[in-house]
Amino acid sequence: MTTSITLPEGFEDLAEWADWDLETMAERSRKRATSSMEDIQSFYDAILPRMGEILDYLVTVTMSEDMNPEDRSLLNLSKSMAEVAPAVEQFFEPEISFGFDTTRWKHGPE
Amino acid sequence: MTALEDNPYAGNRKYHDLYPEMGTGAVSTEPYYSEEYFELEREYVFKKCWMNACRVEQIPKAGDYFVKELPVCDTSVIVIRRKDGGVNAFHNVCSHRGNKIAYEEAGNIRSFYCRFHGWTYDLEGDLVVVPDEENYFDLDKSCLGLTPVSVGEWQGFVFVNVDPEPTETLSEYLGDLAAGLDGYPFEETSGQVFTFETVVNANWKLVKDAFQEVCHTPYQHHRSLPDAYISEANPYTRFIDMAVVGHHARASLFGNMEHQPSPLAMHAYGHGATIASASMVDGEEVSAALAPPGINPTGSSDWSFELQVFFPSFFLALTHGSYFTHQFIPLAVDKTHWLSTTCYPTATTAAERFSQEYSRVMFRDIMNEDGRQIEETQSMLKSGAKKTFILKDEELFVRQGLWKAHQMIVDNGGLPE
Repeated sequence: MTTSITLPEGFEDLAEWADWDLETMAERSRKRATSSMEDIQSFYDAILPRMGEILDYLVTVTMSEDMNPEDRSLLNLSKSMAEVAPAVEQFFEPEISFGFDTTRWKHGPE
Repeated sequence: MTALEDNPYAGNRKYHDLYPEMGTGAVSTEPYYSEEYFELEREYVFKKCWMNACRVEQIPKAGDYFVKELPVCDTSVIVIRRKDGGVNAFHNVCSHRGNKIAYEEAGNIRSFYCRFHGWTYDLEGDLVVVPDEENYFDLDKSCLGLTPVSVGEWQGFVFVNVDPEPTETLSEYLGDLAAGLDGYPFEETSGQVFTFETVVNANWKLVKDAFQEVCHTPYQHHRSLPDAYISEANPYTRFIDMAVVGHHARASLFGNMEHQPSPLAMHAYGHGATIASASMVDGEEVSAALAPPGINPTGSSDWSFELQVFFPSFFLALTHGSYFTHQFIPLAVDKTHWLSTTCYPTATTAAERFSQEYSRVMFRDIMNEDGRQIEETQSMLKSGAKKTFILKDEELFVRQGLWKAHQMIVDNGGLPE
């Protein structure tokens, strides 16, 4: 891992998942599509037990353009959880077999 | 009849009985691949119908404009906010030598300026500046404005109609379908709109058909939606209720309140109702709170969504706290611009934004299950192996869409009776 991120107090240990700190749906869905199921599962298993705690914190964070970078990183990790959840919970594979190629979507805004 | 009374989702009542003019037979597949038929649809359907162009939130201030590309109508339409707050629409073409006025999809301007020779138009579409005016012959600027397109607004949705003389106003066109939705908090629920756009290699009706019945849920969506819209009582995901309303159609969708949300869904649902959690609510309570008479008109506690199919190809699916839309704009007989949105109130906290993201991802993944099937079906149409599609009662809207388009072509003189 080459990137490093700073997370809010109490969540420092999640910094090892820095490569899931991604701003856009396009980046997050590409990451999901190009990751092994093992990697996706490891990320999911590490974050899921912390989700209650993460959301208890994020509920105190007001959405704004100038959200501080630590809070933004934690929100991005939670968005990546949203991105991988169907792969782990519904499809049991990174992308949907017999599905539409997800990179064909143009989406916005973030 | 006993079966029907005991279980409204497994009875033998047929909605088709209410629409004998549409018949019950197999339907021809030809309208899905015939170039000739596509040209008839272009001339006699799309060039005559009101079509959704954008939402008012996309053009909040005077001079804000949005360009709706409508290749099926052989045009591109500029929708622009006037200084008095109203909205104008124009064909995106200069009066001089036909150049496009707006090249970008959206923006804000004080006047339209043609890049070719500098002809300039104000927000009313009036021609105000012609460089080197003296060099032209008998130029009367007052009759050389941009060509207007009929435009109307309903609940913040802007519709356009390229017919120079539409036979119906927008309000007449939308009719009782729109009236039934008065009171839905569209403005509040359009604070955060996420868009999805793609080009799908299929006829516009094939894409549309995939979204105007839900009885494919137990099969095509058995992984993504194993139990949210299926129950012992409704094993085939039938509608609670469905009806043709004027040119359009509406249905109440079933939801299984007993369904087991996934671990992450449980976290998401705690931070704002979204389309992902629609099946989890008491339909009767929630729809009563939403108020519009057109939502869950049978008052079912199994209600999850209200689906509106605006002819020819615009969809609204409303629930508590969010709604989604689809629009299918033909690019060719076998190519369609697919534009969908998921819409929510503006997220105030980062936790709500997470909940919206969960709903946004599920929505996209479910569309991905549909998208592949749509293209695979299109790829087999021309084989000639199957000359018809067989429709069951729940597929009434597939039939209605085909029937309505055919009627319009006949009524406008494109085909004999």
